[in-house]
Amino acid sequence: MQLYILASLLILLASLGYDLLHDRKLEFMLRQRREKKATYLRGSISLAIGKAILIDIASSSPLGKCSLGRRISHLLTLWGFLLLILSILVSGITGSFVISPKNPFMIAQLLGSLGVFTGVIWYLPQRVNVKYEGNSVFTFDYSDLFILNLLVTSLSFIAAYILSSLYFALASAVLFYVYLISITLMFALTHWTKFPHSFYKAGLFILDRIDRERGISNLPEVAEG
Amino acid sequence: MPTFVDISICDGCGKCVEVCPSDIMHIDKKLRRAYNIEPDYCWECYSCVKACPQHAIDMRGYADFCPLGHALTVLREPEKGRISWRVKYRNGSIKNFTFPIRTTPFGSIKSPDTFPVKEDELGSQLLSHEPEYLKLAAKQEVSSK
Repeated sequence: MQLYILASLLILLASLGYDLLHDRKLEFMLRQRREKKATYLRGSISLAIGKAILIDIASSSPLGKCSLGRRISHLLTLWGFLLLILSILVSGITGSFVISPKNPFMIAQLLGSLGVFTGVIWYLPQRVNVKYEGNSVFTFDYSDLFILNLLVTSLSFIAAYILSSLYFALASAVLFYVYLISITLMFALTHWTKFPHSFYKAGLFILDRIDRERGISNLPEVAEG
Repeated sequence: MPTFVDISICDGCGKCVEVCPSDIMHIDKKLRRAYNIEPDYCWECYSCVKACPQHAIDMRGYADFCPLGHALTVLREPEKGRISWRVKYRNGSIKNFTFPIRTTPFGSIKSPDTFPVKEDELGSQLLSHEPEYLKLAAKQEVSSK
């Protein structure tokens, strides 16, 4: 299991690096940073980072400007996925990764999978092409690769857990491997799916909060009165 | 150069897709972020710019008030009844403008469904609440003076 975690992390780093270098994203981001000039420092940088993590990332508040439904579905998916990944990491590193319904790490992964599954199902009718362009909720295109991957991941674990509780050891083990492969596939397909937004958006939220503290903003100054 | 989307800020909510009168704001097939599919057909009405809750859409202003080339951003605050524009000119100078966008308080305008329906007038050639809402009597009074 430790080997699987190490291999998955290496795959994630490699595919993220490829994504950053392939269409010169990294170069663009660095150029953007160089062009922004600070005018003053209004508050604390660490406070800005804290606000970004708590408000923008952990509670998905920017999505609340669009709709409450999108925010809730995003929160369920985000926290479900984090719970799932952390459970695999901790159980894998501590050597307590056992396929058993009573294992607390398996229960944590079940909760995470349920969160991801509910979030994705909630999100499906809120997609722009469904909500505003009149497509069927069962329409899937290239941009849905990421959520389909999440759906396979969560469903395979939920099914594996249920089968394991019913003592179908072989079927449960097969689905468990599907679950692990699906997670690795998500990491490997970073460049081709929407998955890297998890890293880029989080980074941008932090930089944006820091910029605002330093007096850098593209938005107009409002004349009161 | 009409409107363009900063995809690092856009979160793909689709408000610009919904509001665009030219139907040229679409969602990218891979990233699920908005983009202007046909800039040549953009009317530069700025509906998408004003509708975007994330301020992810920037644009070029009209030549009469931005002759030197520039970057233009907007902050719409309908509840406060104002809109503000920030123009960054090619020589680096920045100007900010704030305009009122309404004369009545936000939310004070009645929705059509709050007006009473007159069942006996449904077959009439006149539009709803005509002629009293045209205030013809007051008009005649002014013209007779």
